[in-house]
Amino acid sequence: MKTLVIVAHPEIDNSTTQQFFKEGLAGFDNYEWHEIKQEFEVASERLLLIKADRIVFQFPLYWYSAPAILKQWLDEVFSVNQLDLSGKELGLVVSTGSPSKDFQAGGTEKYAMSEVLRPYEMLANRMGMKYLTPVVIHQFAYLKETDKQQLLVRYQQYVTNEQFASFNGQVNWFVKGLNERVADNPEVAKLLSVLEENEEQRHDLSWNVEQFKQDED
Amino acid sequence: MDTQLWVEHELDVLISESKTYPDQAFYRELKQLFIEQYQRIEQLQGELDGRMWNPSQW
Repeated sequence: MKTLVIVAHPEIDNSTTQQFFKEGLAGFDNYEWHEIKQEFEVASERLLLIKADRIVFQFPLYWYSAPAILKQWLDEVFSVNQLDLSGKELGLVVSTGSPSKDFQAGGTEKYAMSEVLRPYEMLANRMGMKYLTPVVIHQFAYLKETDKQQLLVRYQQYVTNEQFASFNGQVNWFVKGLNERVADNPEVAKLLSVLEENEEQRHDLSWNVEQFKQDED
Repeated sequence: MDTQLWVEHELDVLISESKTYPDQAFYRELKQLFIEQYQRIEQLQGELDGRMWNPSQW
């Protein structure tokens, strides 16, 4: 799977969130980090999109939408007739300075983030793409260190793990990561074998439970 | 030592000795994954026991 990360931020170099994500992807393959500039060539942008399996728009939320630079890029690059993105996935990584409790019925902003981001869901639908559950980062600067690390791994999987939403998919992602670290530390090999043995046990148990369920029906 | 305790201890060591930030994040989240895996196994074992000892099926 190849992922294209479209970064739309007017001041990328001054954004700690974007630098955090950019550095977090170092060492991974099969992704391209693409920062949108004021000037671009429609044809080459479309080529990048066509080559990707998963496309991620990454931006700070400005007045309940993306920065103008992304809107302009979308208006010129996206086209129902001249660009075929059907079957690809569309993901969003959105950061905001407001706390998550504000985005709900009865909260300060009144509406949930799913509603705010609806235009992107509609865009995915119109283009025949599969819309992925967005990653929303609230108040990055106030996150505890452990929460930042959790966010980093979640983000890495959003970009590089084809099955990031399922437990099986997450286990496979960590198995791959452990295999890459085995050479550094012999203990890692032992952890890897325990992880895989546990998975075998979990699948066996799950199969047995299913058999009982079927017999009871 | 119980395997789960050994896993958690081993990961605590890897977390504290990680040389890079992404490595530390990786091992910290791997520990959470192991915790969830052990929970799922325990729940499945409980469900299997419950279904095996269900008198209505005897």
